[in-house]
Order: sequence, then structure tokens, then C-alpha cells
Amino acid sequence: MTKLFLTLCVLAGTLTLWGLRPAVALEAQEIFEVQSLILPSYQDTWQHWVSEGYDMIDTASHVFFPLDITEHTGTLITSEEQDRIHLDSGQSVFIDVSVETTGLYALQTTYISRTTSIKPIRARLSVNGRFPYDDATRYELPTLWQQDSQINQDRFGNDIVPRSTQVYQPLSFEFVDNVGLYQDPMLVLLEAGMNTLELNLIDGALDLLTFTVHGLPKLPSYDDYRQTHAGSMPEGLIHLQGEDITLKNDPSIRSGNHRGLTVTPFALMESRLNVLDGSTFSAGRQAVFYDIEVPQTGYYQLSFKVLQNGMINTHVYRDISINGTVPFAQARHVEIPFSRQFQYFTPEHAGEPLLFYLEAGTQTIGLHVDMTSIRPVYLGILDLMRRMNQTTLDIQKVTGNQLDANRDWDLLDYMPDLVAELDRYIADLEAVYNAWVSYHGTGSSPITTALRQSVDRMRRIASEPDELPRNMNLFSVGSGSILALIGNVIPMMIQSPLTIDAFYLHHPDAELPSLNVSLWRRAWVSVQRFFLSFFSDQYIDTPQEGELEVWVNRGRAYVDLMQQMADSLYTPETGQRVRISLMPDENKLILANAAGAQPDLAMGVAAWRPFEFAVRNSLYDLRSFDTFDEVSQRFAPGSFVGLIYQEGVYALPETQNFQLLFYRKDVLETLELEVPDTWEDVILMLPELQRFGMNFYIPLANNAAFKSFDTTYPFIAQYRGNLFSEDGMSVAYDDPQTLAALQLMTRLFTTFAMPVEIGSFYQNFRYGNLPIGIGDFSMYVQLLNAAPEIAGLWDIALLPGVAHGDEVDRSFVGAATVNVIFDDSRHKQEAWDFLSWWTDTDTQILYAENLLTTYGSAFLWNTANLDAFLGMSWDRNHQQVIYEQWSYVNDPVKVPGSYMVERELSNIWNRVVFDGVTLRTAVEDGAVIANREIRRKMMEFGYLSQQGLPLRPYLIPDRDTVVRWRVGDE
Amino acid sequence: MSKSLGKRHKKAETRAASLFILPYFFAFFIFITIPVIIGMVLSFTYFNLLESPEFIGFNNYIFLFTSDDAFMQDVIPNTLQFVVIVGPLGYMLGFFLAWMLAQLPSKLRTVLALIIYSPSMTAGITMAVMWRIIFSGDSAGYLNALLLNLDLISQPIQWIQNPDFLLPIMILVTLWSSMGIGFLAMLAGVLNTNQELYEAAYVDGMKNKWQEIFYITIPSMKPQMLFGAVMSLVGTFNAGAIGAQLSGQNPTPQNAGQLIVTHLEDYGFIRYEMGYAAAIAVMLLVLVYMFSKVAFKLFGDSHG
Repeated sequence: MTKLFLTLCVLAGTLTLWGLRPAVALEAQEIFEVQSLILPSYQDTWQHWVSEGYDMIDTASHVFFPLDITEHTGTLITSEEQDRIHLDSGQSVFIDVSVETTGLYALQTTYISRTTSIKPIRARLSVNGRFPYDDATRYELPTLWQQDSQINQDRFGNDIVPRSTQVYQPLSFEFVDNVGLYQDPMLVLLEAGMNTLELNLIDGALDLLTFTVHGLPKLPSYDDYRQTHAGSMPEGLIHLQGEDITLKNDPSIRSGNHRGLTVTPFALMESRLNVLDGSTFSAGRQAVFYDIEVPQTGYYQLSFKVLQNGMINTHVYRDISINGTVPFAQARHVEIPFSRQFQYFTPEHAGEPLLFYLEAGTQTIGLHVDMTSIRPVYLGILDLMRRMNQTTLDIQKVTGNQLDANRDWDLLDYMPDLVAELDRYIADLEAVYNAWVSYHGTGSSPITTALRQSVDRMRRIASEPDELPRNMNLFSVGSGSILALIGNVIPMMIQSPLTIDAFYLHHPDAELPSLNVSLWRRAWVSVQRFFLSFFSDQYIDTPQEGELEVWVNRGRAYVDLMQQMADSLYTPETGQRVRISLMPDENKLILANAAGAQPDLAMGVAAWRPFEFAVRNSLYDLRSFDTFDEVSQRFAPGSFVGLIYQEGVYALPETQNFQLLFYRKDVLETLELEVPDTWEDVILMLPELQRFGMNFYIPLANNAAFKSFDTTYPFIAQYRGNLFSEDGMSVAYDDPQTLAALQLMTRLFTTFAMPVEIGSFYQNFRYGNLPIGIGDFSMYVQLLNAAPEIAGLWDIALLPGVAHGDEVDRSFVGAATVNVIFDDSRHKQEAWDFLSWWTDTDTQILYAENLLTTYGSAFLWNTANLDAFLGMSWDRNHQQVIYEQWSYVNDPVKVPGSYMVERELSNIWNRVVFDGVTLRTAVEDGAVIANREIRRKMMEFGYLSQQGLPLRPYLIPDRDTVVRWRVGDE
Repeated sequence: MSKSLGKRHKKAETRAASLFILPYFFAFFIFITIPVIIGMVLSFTYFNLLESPEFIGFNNYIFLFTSDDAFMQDVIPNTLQFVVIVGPLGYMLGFFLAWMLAQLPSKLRTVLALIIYSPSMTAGITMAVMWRIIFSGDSAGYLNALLLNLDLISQPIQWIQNPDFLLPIMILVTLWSSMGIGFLAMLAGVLNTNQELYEAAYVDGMKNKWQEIFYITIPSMKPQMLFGAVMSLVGTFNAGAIGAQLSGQNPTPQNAGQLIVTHLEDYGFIRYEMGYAAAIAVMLLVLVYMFSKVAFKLFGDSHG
């Protein structure tokens, strides 16, 4: 309880301090200007146009071919079959279009992708020199992909997910948003007369084939469709596997395994790729295409065998296209209800199954993720969040940010509109809830619960508007607030997973295979699986004679691909067979070592572990290999610091974590803030951020009580402080530079009011209340892949650091995973040769590319090999930033007992920030405990005698030790 | 003649009995006795799991009593607090529940007994998962959500990260799951009490249920009471892992929920000092033994 009280005191204290600052009143005018800098959303723009009385034009059609386009910065390629304009990133085409009437027009373009990256092409569009709305600044043009038809199997007979290759075919893009909220193309306003449209490529490359300015195309109704095509309904049932997709517009979409009994093909024990994995076919605008051989022209019914259980009590929607176009309006927005089991779903209209007219021959059936149902909810929530942030600022203007629990406010005297405003919030939240329920029903799901809770809470707040200053925690501040509740709904909402096992083209009367499985068969399969599991090879990992045994602590996807590459590339070249096994738990290494059953080589091992193994003599010193110096040059010297024990290096870096400064371009631009370069800059920008209810995140504020070296050591390294005394026998918390670092670490929270506990920086970054902060590799991957609503709005920069003269030290801890060779291995040289091959630049690039093309963009491989990293197809600008940040990698030195140094560092921070202890006291107490442990461990490993006298020196390595060794050897 | 026959008979009986007990004896010997002996031997060695153990005499014990601050300052006080609260309270609760159940009709009793017994059957980790949801530190945690909805708190409390709450929560969770085998034994004991005794006592002027419990029920189920007490003690001393499971880290935040068992794991698996961890385990054994001696004193009778 005292702890809680103290926390509150510190919090209140900092807030008081903050309130005492010379108050800079935020004028209404200022806020208006701030907002007008941000481009309006398409929704707002569109509503504005409609209210101004502009009409949608539905007749005009202006098609531009490359030769018609006079102005462009790309390359015109003329050829007999097709003229094209090749555009690289940064290049533009300018379309001069003369229209007769002022009104709203739709745009469309056909193009062939020329990008080699797996990411979609990004482009922006301006009309007469201005971006019409914010969505126009970040269009994503999809690319087409094909999965290899050859499915290989691993040595246990399990299917391996095949890789995908890009298909360079003409594609049509209709200028829709990235999330997929809008089905129809986004319209632009063109004045009568001449208009100039500029299509500018931000990322990727393409060949432009046509550009069309036209009226909004209308789909025929189902009845009209039935009238246009006359045809019979051929008999029979055509069966297609859901995983056999011909094309997909996102390499992440892939087939997966389902163990269900009705799934085809069924396998008792092996893992077969037998479904289209719903978790990968779930984001807006994703589409898959099936080529199907239709025997006879006529009308067919379509039935899909699907599993829709990814989102509890939530419907998902798909559009169906035939040969690239949606044939009629009812084929859009087909609803698939939630079900825990496989179900058949047949698109219907008014209770009748829809019939699709297919001509004999190869036809392409497309299935497109449809997100339009979330639009009112999605936009409603964004709008609410924006307004609630505004209200928060208004209230803080009145109350001055003081959290005085005993003070009563007559808030309504200052804000007479507040009651009406709160009522509007209730109404809007209800509208959002109703909109969601109207699509998905009232069944309990995380989304309905969150939305209903926010309505209830808003009601409670509105019942006592004067109490709002005290209820800010419920309203907008912190993780329990309505703002956080609805903010959390957004990432859930934009998922729409659907697993597909098979689909059927059939006559309405045809019988589909039954989905029921008898209890008897169910039981029999379970019994078989249970007993067969005792005999499965998968759990026997004794290698054959002459085989190199490798254990990898990583997911099956990674391991499968490694084995595949070793089998197809390494073994043929060297004759050395390699057996790569999955190691689910690293602790197995300890037990295996105790039992003498360790592998030759372990990969993907946490970077702190080799030191612990090395001091206990169970790892092999990699410096004893002749080629070590050569191989070690592939990595940053700073990555070795934690892997050195005395004269030896006991592991080779495998992957690299990095810390980067993430920031929201839009927010910083609006607030006219610069990206900070040093911590001084950060401190200077904090008041400005906090004035808007925003803040800066550093990893020290994560919600684990234990602050690891990753979060604490960078400060010390940036100040160039020492962690240990020169002889390594004691900590150096009281080193002046280390103290300065500790002071900054604690004052950022005690004096400068950084948030102390943040559940997820990623989420807060997305909804803007932490628009800037320090994140790591996983944050980068998440933002790239799972935050479409802010795509293009964020960027990364070098970490803020500490200035030493002209130079800024931006050290960070980058240790991720490493590879180790065991001392007891009988194949040390072979293991080293394999390791040399594996960490080689070419191999690493190939592995990274294979991962991306097989499993999609979430499988970024953060190799520790510097050159390989530069050779990978990441975003070029980001790659440069990361590469530069990388040169600052500086892992903490390890000595026996350094875990205690880490623990005490965490304790010092906790005691100062939470318990209000002075830094000096905390440091002194911490040093006593850490020193005792170090001495004890030094005695244990024979560096000190039992009397505490030095026996032999302990070497404290630094970033350059490996480099010096290299030079010394030569 | 008859004597030797009887003797032979007795011999055969002993042999049969031994045969019956043999499988259990082997299992006990292999899985309990040998590991305990090995643990005791290891406690006199330096053993880092990776190299072979090295004999170092009493050094581990000397360190344990003279230099291990965390052990003396946090672990022992926490453990005693934990044991003193959970042990007797769980025990009394067990007896009380057993006695109340005994008053119910048999069908209902079976169902309720199963419900009360079930938490102790579920594995610790499953339990921790459930409790972590309840005590989750964000507003979506059940307890926080409830308190928020009732307006009792205005922002979520970090139940399992905050050192002030961790130990009480550990005690609560352990109490909830403490109705184990001891509880079943006590239930059997209450049910087995000779009903005639009650009648006789009422004839002799016994007035109420309390007297029933203290003068008849408890004295007549002493063996079960003893069994329950020992089981409860052993269970409590070994339940320490719950702290690390709840807070998701070992050592627990500021050693707030550090019990002997977690301290032992810290040394054994994080600091690679298995010899020292074995010494801690031996201390644990001694403590359990001492406490059960007390239990024998309280509940044991002449042949106990």
C-alpha cells in the first residue's frame, strides 16, 4: 500500500511541478491551425463535397495510354504489343484531363509491377498540385504472387510451405484506401476545364499501361445479371482445394495445416498443407484467385467449405469476382457467420443461392477480403478519439493539469457546453456500437464488450459532468479509459480471417460431402494419433553417424527452411549431412549437457547464455578456428562484447536486435517539433508534447518490474560510463559518468514526467498519444505489417544520445540470438564449417529472401551479418538508418555474477522512481549487494582466493577487443 | 504343531504383504529416497550443472547462514508468514468444510466435495493462468474491472507487479487450492465418526454442535487430523512456485513473493549453483520436518 501511495505522491508531485510552469495558454485559434495542417480524411472531404452539392459523374470516360501522356519523369518504352511508362520510386506521371462538367470523378489505372521487393508499390496522387485528402498520400498498389506448385516434404514427411514468386501481369488499381474501408474508388473533384493529376511513386517500380478518369462504374443487379446471360444449370459437382490458389495479391497469404477430420487431404500423423490459412488471409484488400476448368457453359452455384473461428462472434465478409470483375452487386459483401466448426457457406440473395454464369474453359474465381462493414465503426472511433483528445485538452486548460483529489470543480461554469458534448459522446458511442451490432450481432466478442463498456462508462461520466476532472482516468487518460478501450478495438477490427478447405461449383441440387463425423471415427482417430505419436520419428533425435547435429531454438517455419537450404545447398557441396532439429526450450541445453547428450551446434540461443556456459567450460572457443578472424568481420564488433570470456569468443552472433527512434511524422509536423538528436533535445520537446496530452516513450517504462540491461545499459554506454571497475572485481555504479547516466534515467521520470508504465508502446503509438519513442525490431515489424491505418505516417531515426564534443554517442544493446559450438562435440571443425557457410553473406541473403517469399512480410530476418543486411530487400531509407544505428551497438560486458549487477541496476531505478529514495543511497545499497555477488562468483571461478586476494587477472573486454585481436594476429 | 502352523501362516502373510507393498516400495525408493539422498550429497558439493560436482564440505551451509541476505531478510520471513497463515488457515478451513459437507445429504456432498477438491488437482500453471487474468494489471483484469465498475478505484492496480500485493495474493490463491488430499481424509474422518457416540453424549447432556465437534468429532478423528496437518504443511512449503508463476519472473519483484522454493530455483537454474540449491532444499526439508513434529505433538496420540 505504501508503494502505491508513494507512486501517487510522485505522480502528483510531477504534475504539480508541471502545473507551476509558466502556463502557456493554448488559444482556440492555435488549435484550429494545428488541425488544418493535417489533411482531412476522405470521409470528411467527401461529405464536404456532397454538402456543397457536387454530383458524381457517371458518364464520362477518358482513357490515357502511355503515348497520350506527354509529361512524366519516367521512361517511355514503346513496343509492338504494348507501350508502357516505366516509373521508379520518386518518379511521376502528369495527366492533363479536360472535363466538361465540374463534379466527382473516379480514377483507375492498369500497370505491371516491376518491383522486386515483397512490399506493395506505394504511390500518391495530387489534383492540381494539392493532395485532396490524407488517403491520397499513401496508396498501396498490390502486386501479384504465385505459390510454387511443387510441395516438398521434410524428413518426417511433413509438407513444407512452398515459396512464392512474383508474377508480372497487368493489374488494375482503382485508388482505394489501404485498410479496405471503401469498396468504390475514392473520388476526386475535377473542375470543368483542364485539370492536372500527378501520380507520384513513393516506393517500388511499375510500368504504367493506362490511366482512366471516368464516372463511377455501377454493378448490375443480380436480376439484371440473370437476364443478360441465358444458360442452363449443368449437372455435377466440381471440387477445388482451397489451398490450391493460382494467384494471390499478397505474398503473406499461404496454405496451412488443419488436423480436422473432414479436411481434405487428410493425414493421420503428418502435417499436410490442406487449407488456406485464415490467419494469413485476413487483412483488408487481400485477394486470392483460383483458376478453374469449367466443363460446360451455364449457371453454377458456389459453395465454400470454410472455418470462420478466428474472431469470436464476428462475421467476416468477402467479395467474389469472376475473371477479375465482380459480376453483380450481390456478389459483393458476402457475409460468412462465425462458427467453431467447418461449415459450408453459399452466397445467397433473398434466401436463394446465387448462381454464377461461367463459360466453358479456364475461368478465374477471385475471393477478396471485404472490410467495408467496419467503415462506420472505424471512422466513428477515429472521430471520437480525436474529439475526446480535444475535450481533454480543454478540461486541462481549466483545471491546469492538477490532480487534486480533494478539490471540487464547477466545471460547467467554465464549459457550459460540456453536458451537450458528453451527450453527443454517448450518442456517438451508441451509434458506433449499433453500427457494429447491426453487422455482427450482439454475441459477446472482445469488440462488442469494449464498445458496450465505453457507452456505459460515458453514461456514468455524463451523469456527473462536474466530476470529470477527477474522472479523467475513466475518460481519456491511462489504460482503463474509454479512449484506450475504443483505441484497442481498431487493431482487432481490421482482422477478418477465413480458413478455406475447399470449394465447389455445382448444380443447386447436387449433394455436398457431409461435414459430420461419427463419434466412433472421431474417437478412433484420436486413439490412433495418440498411440502412433509414441513411434513418431519426430521425437527421436539421435543423429546418424557422420551427421552434424544442430539444435535451433526457433519456430518450425524457420527450421524447415534451414533444413531445406542445408540439404539442397550445403550437403551437395561439402558432402556433410546436417540434421537440424527444433529445440522448443533452451533449458534443454543445460540438461542435455549434464547428460552428455548435447548437440554439436546450437543456434538461436539467447545471447546471455554463452557466457554462463563458457565460464563453466562447456563451450568451445571459436577463436581457435583459423578462419575466425575472417568470419568475425561479418559482424559488428560491439556484438561480441557479451560473448567474450577471457581470451576466448564463445559464440557467433546470429540475429541482431536494434533499438530505433520511432516517430509519427504527422504529429511532429503539426506540433512543429524536430526529431531529437540528444537527450537534451528530448527534454526540451517534452513540455510541448505534454501540453497536448502526449508523451515520449523509452523502454524503461515497459510494464515489467525488472528492468533488464536492454533498457538500462544504453544510458550508461552513451555517457561512456563504466559498469565495472578495471579489474572487474566490483561494480562501478559510482563512476561519475555512470552516475550521470543514472541521474538522467531517473530524472526523465521524476522531473520530466515521462510515463512510468506503458502496456504497449506499439498501441499507444498507433493512436497517437505516444507519437515518439524508442522501440525495437519487433515494433518495426509490427508497424510495417499490422498498422495499415498509419502506413506512411511514421518513420524511424537514430536514437537520441549523449553529445561528446561533436559526436553523439547513441549506444544501444543489440544482443539477440547467437550460435554456439559445444566443447564435447566430436565434430567441432564440421560445425564451424557449417556455421561459416550459414553466416556467410550470400546464404543469409538467400535465407532472408526465402523466408519473405514463403511466409510473407512478417518474417523479416534480422541477420547479424552487416553486408547481408544491406543486401536484403527492406525499405532503403529505413535500411540506411538501421545500418547507421547499428554501428553504435554496444553490449554490456559480462563478468561472473553480472546478473546481480543487472538486477541491482533495476532496483536502483525502481527505488528512486517509485520509492523516492535518493540516487546516492540507492546506488550505495545496490553496489554492496552486487559487489558481494561478484566476489563470490570470482572466488567460485578462481579469480579470487577464499580470502578475497586476487589470484589471476580478469579481462574486461570492450568493443574493440575483437578488432585488436584481429590486428594482433596478423 | 499348531504353533508352527500359525507361524508359517504368519510368515506367508508377511510375505504376501511384502509382495503387495513391493511395487510401491520400489517406486518410492527410486523416485523419492534416491533423489533425496542425492540432493543431500549434492548440498555438500559445488555443482554448476555443466561440470561434475566437487566436494566442498559445509561451505554451502556456511554461506546460507552467514552471507545470503535475500535468504535471511526476505525468503525466510516471507516463507514463515506464508506458512503460518496458509497452513493453519487452510487446515482449519479444510476441517470446517469437511464437517459442513458431512452434514449434507450424500449425493450433494459428493458433488460439492469434488468441486472443492478440484483446484488442488489442477496443475499449478493452469491455475496461475486463471489467476493472472483475474489479477491482471490493466483495466481488463477481472478484479480491476470490477473495482473500476464499482467506482472503488479510479485506475487499475498492478496487483501482481506491486510488491505490496503479491504475497497476499499468493496466500489467497494457495488457500483456494489447499483443499487437497488432507481435506478428503478429514471428510472421511468426520463421516466415520461413530454416530452412537453423539447419541450417548446428548443423553449425557451435550447441548450444541460446538460441543459435538470439540468433544466427539475431533477426538475421534485424530489420525485424519494428523494426516491433514502434515499434508497441509508439506503442501504449503512446496507451494512457493506460485509467486514466480503469478508475477512471471523469478526473483519476484523486490523479493516480495520470494519463498524457499523460488529462491532455490533462482540459484539452481538461473545462477547455475545446483549444490547451493540442494543445500537450500535440505533446509526446506528440515523446516518441514520440524513443523510436522509440532503437528505430531498436537494431534498425534500414543501410537502416532
